[in-house]
Amino acid sequence: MSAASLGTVRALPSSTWRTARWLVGNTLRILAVVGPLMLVLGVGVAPAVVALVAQAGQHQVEAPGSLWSFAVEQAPGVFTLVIAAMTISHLATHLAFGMTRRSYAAAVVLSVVAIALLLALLVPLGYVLEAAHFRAYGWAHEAPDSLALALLTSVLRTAVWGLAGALTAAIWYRFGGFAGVIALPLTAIYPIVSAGMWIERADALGAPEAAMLVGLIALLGAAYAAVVAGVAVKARSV
Amino acid sequence: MTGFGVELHALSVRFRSTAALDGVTASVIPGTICGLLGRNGSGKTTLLSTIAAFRRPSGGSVRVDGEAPWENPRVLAGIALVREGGDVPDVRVSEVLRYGAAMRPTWSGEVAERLLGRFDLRSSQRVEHLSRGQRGALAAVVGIASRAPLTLLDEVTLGMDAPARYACYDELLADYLVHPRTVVLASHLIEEVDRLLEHVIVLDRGRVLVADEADALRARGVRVSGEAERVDAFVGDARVLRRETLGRSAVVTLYGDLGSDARARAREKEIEMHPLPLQDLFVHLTDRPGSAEGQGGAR
Repeated sequence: MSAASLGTVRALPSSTWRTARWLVGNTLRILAVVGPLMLVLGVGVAPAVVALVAQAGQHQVEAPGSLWSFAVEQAPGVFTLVIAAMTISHLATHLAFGMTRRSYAAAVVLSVVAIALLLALLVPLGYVLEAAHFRAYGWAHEAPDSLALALLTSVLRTAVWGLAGALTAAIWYRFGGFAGVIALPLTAIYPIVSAGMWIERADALGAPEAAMLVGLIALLGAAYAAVVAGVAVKARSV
Repeated sequence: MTGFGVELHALSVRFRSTAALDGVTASVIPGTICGLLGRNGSGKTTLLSTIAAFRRPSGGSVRVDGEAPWENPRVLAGIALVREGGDVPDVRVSEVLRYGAAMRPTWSGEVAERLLGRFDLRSSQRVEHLSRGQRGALAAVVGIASRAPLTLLDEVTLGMDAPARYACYDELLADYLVHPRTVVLASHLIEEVDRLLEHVIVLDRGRVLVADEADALRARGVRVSGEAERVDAFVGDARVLRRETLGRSAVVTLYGDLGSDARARAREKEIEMHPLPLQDLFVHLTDRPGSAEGQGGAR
């Protein structure tokens, strides 16, 4: 092929890097709205509602300890759905723009870990803001002893949830609806594994548990790459 | 020589018990515009999807620029398969163009911007809000602006109105002339794309029916008319695709080489000879025996 005949041929970074940037960028746009919303609802509105309800019922407020911890526990489940939908819808685009399945799988793993890290940054921020809000009500606040450990736990937990979602969606896309249903329990892999490791608190993660979760992330990533490696792009419905 | 060539050898693709492609052997010459014609379900989309490594072949081989395309970064970077509606991200049109620029090493932003204006697309529009025709137009913008060495356009103009379709053909041809590459164009609208085609592959039920230069194919399709006995004598052993009679006159559609002196012989016998448009030839070649169109005295 004569490159000159096709106009300017630009040198581009690796397709894994380009796609990871695109996926993270797209998620950041959602996060730019959802993140502050989570903070406002979880740290601002929820305690205010608790106080209002107590006031209306003329009850003595029982200090909730932390409402933000509930949001932190639940968020990865939503993240699973977002990752599952996004990674499947973008696969055909990635291939149609001349890139390999291999680079897509690597980009998805990289993106999920990067997004998990960005999401996890909200965790200590939420605890700090919640502590201030609780002080205003005169409530006792319960936060993890180590916010750094809470952040690490959140990264690992969210990454496991996200990759489990991506893997389940890929199985559904490649092997069909029945296989997708069979694969659904994969999305519950974190609760299963964490129960097995007796991880009860956000800051209770020890080095062996962290290593196991890192291993699980690697395993899910490898399984995702294996499923995507043979996937045929389906006909498009317009 | 420019663009990627394609070599298909005994290529087959099966979906369970159905053979979508069955022993397809053909080639696409680098730097040409090749028409991929066939009726619904003939295997056009499956063939293009296999060339672009959207799916694996069940048997046989595909070579693009001399190499198998499956998970081949060099080859895939040079292939653009544009399906109806386009496989573009569901974002704003301007972001689709930014995506193209980020992912395609041969992307022309200048061409993309110009084509948006030509197709009346606004860069602020969201893809999910585009009509079917507008989505087709955006797919065409992506296909042309990608300037991929192998551009595969699969029914891209379906859903577009006539002015948009002609704009698409004109722009494709104009950019192809300045920046030659290999283009494979699958379309049902044969009359419209006829003028673009240098080579033609006709698929029928997953097999190659004809693969030839477009001019050679056009030359083989002839319609002769005149007094029935004279026409029959003139036709001789040539392959008759269709024969219609009206009183003592006959109109016969032929396919094949009638010899270099055919015109002189026709004049001598007062027989009129007309070249057959590619679309008519396609209709006759892919006619199903026993179907409504197949009636009428074809032999």
